[in-house]
Amino acid sequence: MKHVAQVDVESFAKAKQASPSQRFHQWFIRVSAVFVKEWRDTWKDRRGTQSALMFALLGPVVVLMMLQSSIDTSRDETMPVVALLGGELWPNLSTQLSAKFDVQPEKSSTLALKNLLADKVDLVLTIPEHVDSYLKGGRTIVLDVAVKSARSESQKAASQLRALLQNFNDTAAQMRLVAHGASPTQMQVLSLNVAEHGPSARFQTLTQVMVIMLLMGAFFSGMNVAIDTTAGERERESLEVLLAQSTNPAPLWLGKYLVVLSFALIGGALTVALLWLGLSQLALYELPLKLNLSWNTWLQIWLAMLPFAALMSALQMVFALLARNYKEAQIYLTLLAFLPGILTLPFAAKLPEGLPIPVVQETLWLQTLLRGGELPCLPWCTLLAVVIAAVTALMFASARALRNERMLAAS
Amino acid sequence: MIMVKQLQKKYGAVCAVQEASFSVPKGSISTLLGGNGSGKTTTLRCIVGLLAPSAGAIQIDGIDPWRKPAEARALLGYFPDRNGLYPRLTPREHWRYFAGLHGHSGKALESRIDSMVDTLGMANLANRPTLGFSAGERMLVALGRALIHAPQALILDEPSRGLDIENLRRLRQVLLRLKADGVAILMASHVLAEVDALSDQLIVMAHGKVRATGTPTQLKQDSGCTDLEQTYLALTGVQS
Repeated sequence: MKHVAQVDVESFAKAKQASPSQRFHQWFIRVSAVFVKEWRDTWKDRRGTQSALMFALLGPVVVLMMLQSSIDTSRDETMPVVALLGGELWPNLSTQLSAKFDVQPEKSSTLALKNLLADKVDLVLTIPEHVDSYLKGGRTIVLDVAVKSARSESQKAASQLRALLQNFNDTAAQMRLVAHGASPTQMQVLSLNVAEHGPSARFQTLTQVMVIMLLMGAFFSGMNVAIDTTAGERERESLEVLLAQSTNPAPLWLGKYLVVLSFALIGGALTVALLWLGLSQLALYELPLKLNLSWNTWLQIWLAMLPFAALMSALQMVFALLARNYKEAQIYLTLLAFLPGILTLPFAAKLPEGLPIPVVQETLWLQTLLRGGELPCLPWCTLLAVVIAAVTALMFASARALRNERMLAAS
Repeated sequence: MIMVKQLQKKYGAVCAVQEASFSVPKGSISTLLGGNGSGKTTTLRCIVGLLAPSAGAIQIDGIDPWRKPAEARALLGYFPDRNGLYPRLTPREHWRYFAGLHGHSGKALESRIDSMVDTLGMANLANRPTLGFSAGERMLVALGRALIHAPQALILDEPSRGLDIENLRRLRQVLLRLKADGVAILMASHVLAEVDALSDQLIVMAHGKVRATGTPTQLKQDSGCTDLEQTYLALTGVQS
């Protein structure tokens, strides 16, 4: 057995004689040691890594499923299927119907009704054979509509058909009166001119859901790592020996924080990448929304999430540090996931534009970016500076707390 | 090397340590001997600078560990009563991490880790995660962790707890080597056979107070007992 204290002591002990100019280098070594250890430890914990990145993977899937569902609903809404009997007798009405319905010309009324009962068509509309003579004679034409009462799609299609035929009837009636010498302006008592401004309500909801998924992807990816590196130290009973080393707690905290932030940013990047890939595969043109799908925009989206991830990672570290064990930390951080949104978002619209308020500003930027806007450079830099200042303050507050003997007594 | 003078530590109204005084010179092994709740662990934590003394003074080579913890701990290796190992990390990764916390890196550190593997006879275990290690193997990893920065003093809290005969022997060999190398060793222990065989100085504690200090032979003579167990019981007043 070799001598324990004599082996390489001379060369090794030289490192202890660090001059003041080398102190920064020593600080860097300590932060690097913590970062490498925590990264390696977290990466080796496969279940932990999987659960850390689970939300980042599942969040986009949920959003994409919602969008696909909206597309399907949109398709259903716009194209009810109508079996049309005698369509060739009234080509004008057939053309009008084709604009709102998937018109399937039929010859046999028996077959059409069979298809209705088999849910192959939503309605059966029959134009009578005498339609031409009635039109010329100015008489009322009765159209037969067959509806399957037990089917909501059929009822819905019937309402749509009723509205369309009402419009068609009004126009035809006006034309008859014009043909008899009435003035078109006298018949038009009122007219609506509706202009749509801003995104539709559905689009707003979808973008808000996407924004929440993006931010939560970053939040939950760092959460488990934050707990493991802080409350986990207590649960493993490794906090005491860690605090007994010749290092200030600040580099210890910073090294751990950088690992939490790395996971948050990787999770955020995964969410962004999956959303980008998924959205490019969806038939978004069928929805009343215009999402910006260029890679440049999605890079800006990730950058917009950076201050949020930086601040939340630091807060997660502080909250988890106060917890006595893993479960307690999970409760604190789950509350933390919802608190910023609950506290800040109701006031977001009332706040003066451009104020560097974390969480609120990132939320607004993400919504703007999804609608085709740009990330403003100077406000982003300002917010990042505010967040870095806040993280630095949290680091020194945590380091102070770790120096307190109560921290050890609680473990 | 380690000087403790009139140390007092209170937790509210409870006085865990009262007016404890002793010193541990370089190249010696001193043992805090006492029952559960006698103030051994509190004393050791104060020496490492984890707890603030309520009164009295502690110096590690002239440095106050509570006021200048980083400087004092650079001279100290600490082996707590709970191993606190990371189950997914290997012994090498443990030692590299803790040496890094002391500001060491590079080739000198890797060479030191290789030497530690040889010294502790852990060649077969050095690259395996510590999950599933036996009590003896965990003790060796924790001991290597305390020694990796080549400290001048070593503080051990119940290092022999749960060890079998083979690992007790290995621990004894390592401690004697360290003593020969001039390291000041202060440990808390219950294992009287170990204490008798290793200690140059015994510090007997009971109810937070130091009841007696001296070599095992001196204490036996002073108490008029032939074995250490009787000596301990006599000094602590548990049994005459």
